[in-house]
Amino acid sequence: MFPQPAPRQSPKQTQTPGHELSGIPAGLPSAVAQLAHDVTLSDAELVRRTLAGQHDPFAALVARYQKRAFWIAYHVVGRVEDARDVTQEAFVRLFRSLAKYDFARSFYTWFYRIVMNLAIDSLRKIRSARAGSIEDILGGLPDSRAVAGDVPLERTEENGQVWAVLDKLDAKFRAVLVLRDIHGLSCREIAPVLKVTHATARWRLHRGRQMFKEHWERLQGGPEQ
Amino acid sequence: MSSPACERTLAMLPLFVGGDLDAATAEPVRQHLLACLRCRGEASSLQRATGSMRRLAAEPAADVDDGMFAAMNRAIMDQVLVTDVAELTAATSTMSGRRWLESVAAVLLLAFGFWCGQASWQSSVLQRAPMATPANDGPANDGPAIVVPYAGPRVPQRLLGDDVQDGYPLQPGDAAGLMGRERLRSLVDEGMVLPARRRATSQPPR
Repeated sequence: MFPQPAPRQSPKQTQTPGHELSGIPAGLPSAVAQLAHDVTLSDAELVRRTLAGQHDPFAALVARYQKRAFWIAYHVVGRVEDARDVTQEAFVRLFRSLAKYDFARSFYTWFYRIVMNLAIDSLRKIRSARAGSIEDILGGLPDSRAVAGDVPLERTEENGQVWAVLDKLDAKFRAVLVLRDIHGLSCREIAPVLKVTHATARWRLHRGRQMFKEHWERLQGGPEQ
Repeated sequence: MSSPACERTLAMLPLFVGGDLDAATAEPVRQHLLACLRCRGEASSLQRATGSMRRLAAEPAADVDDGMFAAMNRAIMDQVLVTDVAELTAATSTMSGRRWLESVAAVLLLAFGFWCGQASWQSSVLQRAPMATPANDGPANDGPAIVVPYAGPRVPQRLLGDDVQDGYPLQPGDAAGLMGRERLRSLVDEGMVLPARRRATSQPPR
């Protein structure tokens, strides 16, 4: 059978069986959790209230977006500690630049751009620090990423190969693949996040998938039939 | 050997397998895949690679749970609380003040530019009178004041056949309409004008 195109997903519908890429975490103060869960309160309204001098609305914004921000950063950077640092730094920067927020534009696009810029910077720093390290020279060491939960061994191995292929890709292609294929954003949503045109986002997605497939096949020992 | 249809399909496959083509563009690709075994194999391969990447979304990571996110929320708020909200709103008013200043500066700059444009239009090169320089810096002689016009870019137009300049007929080597160096030399040779150095030495003492 020939392949069927995958269904389009909007970022807010992204749910995966293993864990949630979005959602509001438990264990927050009740006032913050209430604000975060209140669907009648838009992100822009929370920003307005923060600018008016309240802290809880900003904590609610953090609660709404911290999971998505963390997982995007994690899939770009590849390490939990770095992803956590990127997420925290992104929220601090967001708070400091709230006064510049343009209420006519989408909040999550603006925030994702901050997260993505920091994540790509972090990835580049990690790569330049790792260049020439013993892991890169040997190349065949097992992936050190720790995986929690009951994940089958073959799946863990496959995921390790996916991470290895993602590590070979340029940051700009990796960013598009993460946003589109892992987090389900459309190219129209990706373009403003990466501050590129829609055509550029599509071209990067096209080229990124092609390169991913080439590396993937090479890693698995030649083209699959 | 791949046909042009195969090449067109292969070029679209990366977007087709991800569902990123609109229906009108995807339909010919789908039809071609039904008929072409080689392209179908390529599409399956691409779809497997993309699918493996999509499964990464379901992969949990160690030490990542709601407890970590709640702790992260507290850590972010601790960092943010250092920045007072009043400071943030002050930043807002400072920014609006800065924008106001920038607007005023822009208007002033535009007005200055407009004024400069007007002034330069009024005193353009075409409308400027030709500059004149004195023939020498020494004391005035008894003869007529000799003025050597500045041989600038502006040349007065004269009618064809009008070959008289200041009562003297123009010579073929003269600069048109101006008293050039050759003309001045001929005047000196004729004794009508004394060169500055000779005139200064030959003047009788008073």
